[in-house]
Amino acid sequence: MTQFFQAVISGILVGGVLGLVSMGLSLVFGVVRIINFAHGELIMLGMYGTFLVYTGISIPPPFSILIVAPLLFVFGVLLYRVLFEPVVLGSTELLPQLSLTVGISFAIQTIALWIFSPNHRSVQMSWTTTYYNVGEVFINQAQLIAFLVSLVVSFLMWLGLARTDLGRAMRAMVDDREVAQMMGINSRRIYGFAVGTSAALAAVGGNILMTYYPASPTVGLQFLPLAFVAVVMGGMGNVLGAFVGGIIVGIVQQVTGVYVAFQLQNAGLMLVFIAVLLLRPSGLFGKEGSL
Amino acid sequence: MAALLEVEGLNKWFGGLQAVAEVSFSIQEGGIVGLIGPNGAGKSTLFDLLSGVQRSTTGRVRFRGHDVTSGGAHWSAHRIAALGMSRTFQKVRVFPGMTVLGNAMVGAFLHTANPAEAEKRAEEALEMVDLYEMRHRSTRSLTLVDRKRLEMARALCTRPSLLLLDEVLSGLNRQEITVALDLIRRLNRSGVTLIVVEHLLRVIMELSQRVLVMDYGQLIADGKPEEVRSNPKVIKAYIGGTEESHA
Amino acid sequence: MKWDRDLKAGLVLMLVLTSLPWWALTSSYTLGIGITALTSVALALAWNVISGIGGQLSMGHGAYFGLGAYTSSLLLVRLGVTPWIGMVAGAILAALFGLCLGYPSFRLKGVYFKLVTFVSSLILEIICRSWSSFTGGDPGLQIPLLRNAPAMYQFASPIPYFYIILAMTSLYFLFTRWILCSRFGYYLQALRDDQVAAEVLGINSLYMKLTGFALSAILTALVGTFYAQYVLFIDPASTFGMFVSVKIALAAIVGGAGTLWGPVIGGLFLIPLAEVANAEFAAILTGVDTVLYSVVLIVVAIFLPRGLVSLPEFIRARRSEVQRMKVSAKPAS
Repeated sequence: MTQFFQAVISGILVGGVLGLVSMGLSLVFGVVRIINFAHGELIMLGMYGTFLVYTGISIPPPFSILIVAPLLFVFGVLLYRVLFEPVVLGSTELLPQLSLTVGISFAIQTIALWIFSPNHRSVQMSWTTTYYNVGEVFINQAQLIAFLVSLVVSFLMWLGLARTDLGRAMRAMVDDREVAQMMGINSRRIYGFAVGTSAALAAVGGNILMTYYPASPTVGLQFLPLAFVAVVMGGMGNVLGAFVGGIIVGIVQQVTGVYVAFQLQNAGLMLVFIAVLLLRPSGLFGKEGSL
Repeated sequence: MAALLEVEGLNKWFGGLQAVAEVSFSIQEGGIVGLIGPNGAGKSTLFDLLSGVQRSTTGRVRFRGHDVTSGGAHWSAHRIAALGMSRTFQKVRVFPGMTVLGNAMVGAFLHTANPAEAEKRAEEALEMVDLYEMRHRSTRSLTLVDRKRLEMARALCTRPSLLLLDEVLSGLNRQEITVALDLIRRLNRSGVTLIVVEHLLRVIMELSQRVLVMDYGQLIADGKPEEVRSNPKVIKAYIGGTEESHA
Repeated sequence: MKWDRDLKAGLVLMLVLTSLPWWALTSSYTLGIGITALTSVALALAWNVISGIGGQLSMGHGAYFGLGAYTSSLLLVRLGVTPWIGMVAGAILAALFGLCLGYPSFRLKGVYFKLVTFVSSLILEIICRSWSSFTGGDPGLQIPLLRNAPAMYQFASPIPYFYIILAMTSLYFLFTRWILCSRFGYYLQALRDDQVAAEVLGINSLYMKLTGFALSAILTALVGTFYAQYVLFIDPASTFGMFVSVKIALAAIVGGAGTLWGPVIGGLFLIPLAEVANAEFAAILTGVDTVLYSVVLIVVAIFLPRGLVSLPEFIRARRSEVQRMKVSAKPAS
């Protein structure tokens, strides 16, 4: 039984962070209607950014969030303005999006490869390797703190979406674009803001991930499929749903890994994913026909 | 003589909203039937139910003797089309990735697998609606009127015995309406039975031998144009004044 | 089939390609590039059937590629069956898998379906990796070197391989051409553009899609077997992996999905470009081919959303725009 609890708890902790980074993917899809295949690279940039800040000016995560997140926010907005906008405003077809975001993904990966070399980089601090003992369950302190940070940031995100004007505007875009545009909401600004926010969220995620997961140029590819699954399970466009989706992904992964086989943890996840798609295609929290 | 189309107790619920309520009528072959009613009366939904695009909640539809609502599983749209029912859409749906000719050919392929033959039939249909000159153009460059004509030609290529026209005249000016009406009458004379949904009362009254009136999903009147026009229920439904063409 | 411009151009191209090993592709290395390019074209054409023409975007064609490669190779290694027969078995398995995927496509809307295809090839990759006793797992599967054994689908020199893939690609090209003129092709395109409108014209969408999936799967799997027999080594990542699926799709997309020449241009253009770039810059920087590839992807996405085939159209549009500006800039007389 303890094994089960251990798996579930680990799953929640890890899943929370995944949920955080998935929120951005969901947001961009809901608001701008782009499936960003380069989202994994945003996480990667967050991780490397954190690394640089730590080795350069000795500010450790999670405090360096205050530096890395805003930087990546700006990067996200630029990314939208320079590259996404011509494609988004040009046509609503799916294909150019694919080319574009995959191209960006490859480009960022290669540049990271040139700058950082394929070696893994990590941020080691004294407190990242401490474990707590709750009953017979081991909790990694770094993962716990990461989870708490994710929780706080997600909550702030929820607040932002619910209470601020920008947040409301973004939600309006997700729910009904035409009406939103008719009501005078400036799409360009909102889109840019959405992409920027998704980058910032990815940055936060990457930042706290650094405390227990090493960075490498291809690390984004490891998270991307998981983020997709989280987003779809939560309902595409439903930002908070993505967070919950992430937690579910984490739990399913850990439980499968413990009870079936370690290498098959992703297989178990994929099967759950397909089951969800077949039974409730709009996701666990999505609206019917929200696509 | 067996009716071409028999509708018995058709109902359609969308969650808590009843879009079509206990609609029953039958249509013989030949002739043009008008279907009118205020916005939201359920006319397009009725078309969806007849053509198999949507499933009815309860009720029966018999088309050319076949019960197309049978067996719990509905006949899907493509089987109904193969049986001889074709339709156009209120919001025109032409295929944007194909040329004018290509669009029409898709319809023609219902009765032949041979591309050359399909092309010939498609060209004939395009001639009938006066789109032959533009047959190699992409649909992207077509005006609304032309797209409506294309949709009709495409439906014609399936050689329907029953054609459902959903507001083909909206957005047309007076001249275009005259041309369209002429086409509709020609179609009818060539053996196609038509159910025409329109907002222009004057047009429907002229065009049809029989008029069905819907309001709030129910069939509130069914008869000759003159009878329907003076029916108090119908007048009440249109209380916002009769919708005359302002083209 | 009408003997028109496309067929003529295709014939000329094929003749030129046939002659290449005599004057252009003279070394093993250059032949290798040629083979890789043609392989990409074949895969792009196969993908194009259901995803370009049919509009059912698949991001998981690696699944069929892998099934083709692994089925024939496992039959060879474990049971000594010649890959010529194994190829057929692989194609059948791939078709079945394709049918399984075709069914959910019927119920899921665009994006979701793309993700299911994406995930499905990943699942196969994971299964392949973990079932190592059977498939050789992560380290991969080696096909025994037989030197010259045509009966076992192996040749000593790259030249026969070149002609085999050229033949396959030509056949795929002809097949695509046929589809585009046939009822099947028209129906697929109608379904792609507007499923509801297609259905009321009598098109059985489920049947059409399933057929499309099966065909696309078979064509892809056959190339998978070819690949296995050419490289003589397969592993989960290079067959079922995400990159494979993405590259297949992109070759067709960049060239122009849904068209006849799009996949041809995409395959012939992108791959040699990447290889040459990589070779030139390998001494200075690795990964230049990836960057080049990325730049092409981005530029095409922004300026030529319908792919490289739309380049003539794009130029024409620009020219007429320039004309119009010149006319309006003339002072009123």
